[in-house]
Amino acid sequence: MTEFARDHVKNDGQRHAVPAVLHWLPGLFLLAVLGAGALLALTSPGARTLPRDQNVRAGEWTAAYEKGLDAGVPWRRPALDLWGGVGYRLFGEAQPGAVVGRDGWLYTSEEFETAPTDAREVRDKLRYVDQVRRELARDGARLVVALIPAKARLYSSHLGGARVPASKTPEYETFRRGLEAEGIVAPDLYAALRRAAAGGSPNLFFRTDTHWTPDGAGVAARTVASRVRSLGLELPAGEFRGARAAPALYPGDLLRYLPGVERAPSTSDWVRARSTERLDGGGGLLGDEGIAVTLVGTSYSAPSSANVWDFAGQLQQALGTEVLNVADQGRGPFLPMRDYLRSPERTSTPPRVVIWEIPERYLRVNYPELDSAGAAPHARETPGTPPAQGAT
Amino acid sequence: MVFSSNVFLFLFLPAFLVVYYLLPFRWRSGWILVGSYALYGWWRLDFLWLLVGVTLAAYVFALALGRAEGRRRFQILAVAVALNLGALGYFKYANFGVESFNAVVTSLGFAPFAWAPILLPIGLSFFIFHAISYLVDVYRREEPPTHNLLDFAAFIALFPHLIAGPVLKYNLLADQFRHRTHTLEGFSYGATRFMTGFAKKVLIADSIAPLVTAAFNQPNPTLADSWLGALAYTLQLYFDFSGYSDMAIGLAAMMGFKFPENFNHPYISRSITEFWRRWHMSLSSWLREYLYIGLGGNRKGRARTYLNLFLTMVLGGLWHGANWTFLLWGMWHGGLLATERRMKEAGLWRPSPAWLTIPGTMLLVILGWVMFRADNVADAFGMYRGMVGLNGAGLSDTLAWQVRPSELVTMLVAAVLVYVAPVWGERVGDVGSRLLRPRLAVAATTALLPLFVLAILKLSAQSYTPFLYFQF
Repeated sequence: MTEFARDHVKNDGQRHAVPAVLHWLPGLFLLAVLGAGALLALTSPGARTLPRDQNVRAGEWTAAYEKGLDAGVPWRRPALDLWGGVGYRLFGEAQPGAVVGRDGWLYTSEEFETAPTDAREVRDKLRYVDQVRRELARDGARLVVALIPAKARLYSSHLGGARVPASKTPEYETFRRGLEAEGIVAPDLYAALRRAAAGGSPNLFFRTDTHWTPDGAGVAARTVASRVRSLGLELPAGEFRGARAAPALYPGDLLRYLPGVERAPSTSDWVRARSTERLDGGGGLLGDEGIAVTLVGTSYSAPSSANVWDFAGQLQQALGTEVLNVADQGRGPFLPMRDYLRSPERTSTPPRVVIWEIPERYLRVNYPELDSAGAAPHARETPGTPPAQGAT
Repeated sequence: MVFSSNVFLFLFLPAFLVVYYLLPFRWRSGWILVGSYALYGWWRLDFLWLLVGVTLAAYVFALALGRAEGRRRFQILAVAVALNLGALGYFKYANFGVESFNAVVTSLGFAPFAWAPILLPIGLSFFIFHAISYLVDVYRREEPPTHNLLDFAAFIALFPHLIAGPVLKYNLLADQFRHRTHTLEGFSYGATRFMTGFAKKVLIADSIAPLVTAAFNQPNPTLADSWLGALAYTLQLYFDFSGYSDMAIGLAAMMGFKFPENFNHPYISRSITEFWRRWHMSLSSWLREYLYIGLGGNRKGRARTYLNLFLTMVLGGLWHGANWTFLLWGMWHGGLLATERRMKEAGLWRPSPAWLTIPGTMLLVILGWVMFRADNVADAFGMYRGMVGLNGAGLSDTLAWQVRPSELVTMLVAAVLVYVAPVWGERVGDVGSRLLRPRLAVAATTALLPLFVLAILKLSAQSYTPFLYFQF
């Protein structure tokens, strides 16, 4: 019987054949590394921070402690920089989560991801948007969807060797036409942005960021405003003026996927941050003219320190009316809308138009909360879900 | 707590080694037990009772076996083995059994059986096998029952092999618990093995892992997708598991223990029979001694020998996990082993050149790994369809963007190592230069030291990746 192995302990004689230096060097080296690592780890905040309110018996406490230790060891940042730098400089790669194009262009990998469930998810999103339309229509409000094309779609020329899967090619137009077929206003932002890019406009998306630039946001704002105006609604008038700050380095969010490289100034974009101010003081004669337009969406709209593109401000300027901005970042476009429908803002500031900004890449993302809650206000609340990995 | 983690490397291991070497020899088994239970309890404290229970049961039943005579001995063994297999069956296979049952009843239109899934305790398959082998050895009178509960408990829980093997027999370590030597040379040997295994796991296996996941997630993999995924997994599994085994052997050596080798360049095998003498050798030994021989081995005629080979591998496959894929993988290898044996006995097995037999064996092994890796049988057959080109030839665009140059380079390095290492180990000395071999050994070890540091840094830079064999 020889089919299976027999116990085999390595012969001691084989070990004695090695040079004398190997009798002590590896052992002492390992001890030195373990000792130094232990000292550094023990003096790190991660090792001294003990988790609270975690179940000890079920291993939750140890898992939380280990997570804190891993995040807090002092060699973590140098390790990220070293391996990030090696990956980028040697192989032209980013950390998982971003795709490196050419000429310094970076893309979120969310714009490349596919799954067999994509078609179903997109259909579900179309159904959900229609539910929202009907929900808003009960209050007499119109829904306008600003479907933002993927950066990889608009700037495919900078992709280099990377290719967006062909199955995603029709996604934008199919969804937009689906919206229009349901009677939902959905301006073709892709066509508008593509025309602007072809017309020699400066970059409409940042090279190193997921988001659009002030120029890209401006094109989108004017296109959306044009469609809103075509609805023939009477909106309270306002006078707005935009301003641009002095050029400054803008380290894009995708540079986080290039540790070890991201702090090099040459990798960052330059931007003249955009802001908007109201010239006529607002508030109407007696300060009660109301706000008829509400903007719901993601970080492409939400106010934040990184928001230098000022989509909401440019929208106000293009529409000539005040916009209530309830966009939220880090949660995708659908949960902010669900929350808005349940929010006091909806009743305290009843809109005539709701502009819903939806980045294309979220159409395939599953949101279990939407399955259970639907679009209806005051529906059953479910715990939050982690947002998709992008920065919106 | 996995070996390739900061908490193991920089908190557990230094503390364990310092106390271990400060203690007198007679207290070291106790410290090994404390350390091993701490390592297991780090995963989940509430499952430590299972490890303790299996240990105590094996200890008590073995003592009873030692005192009993005649038919009573067999009855005691049967109860003890049944209890162990019962625990394994409950924790490892109950979910699978209920799911399979529910799949049948729901397809017939009946309501499924309500069932709360059971958590699989890590290392269960290994410590159950350790306990069974000890009981059978005592029953066969190959090993007297031990009265030293501390040493026995320390053997079962010994942390280098607790979570993912190698599968050891008690008699291999019993003497070592009573007496073993601790030298700087032995420690250095252990350190070299540990650092080698760590580098294999972190620098190679973990680097290829995302590509494997991406390829096996393709809904309709093409010829290129499926072969790239299959080859990547073939390399990942070897470097992951042999890396783990190196770490286990190295840790044991740092404590003065000598563990058997678990791998011997399996990918240069020239037959599946040879493959199983080189791959996961401790499991192969266990299967031979306690399953194949238990089934009658080759003592009951040719047909029964083939059947025993087949059944041994089927059960060995199922031991890896509760999934039809493992069952089919076991059937594949059992069928191949039986076929090879039949061919040899019929005089049909002709010596063939290595350039033909090594790739041929690898092809069979890779086909098996596809089933082993796939989430389910349907996915595995999806890969097989891709491997024969039924879904197109070129790399699909849904996979292409995920293939990173560094992964391909790592695969190339791994493949070179797989086929250069055997030459390194066996030929260099034969070629003759008495000067060359020591210099190469020094060069290799010198290269290993910075690689180990780089691997530690990579561990911190990458997200957590558990060892593949933990799931078994």
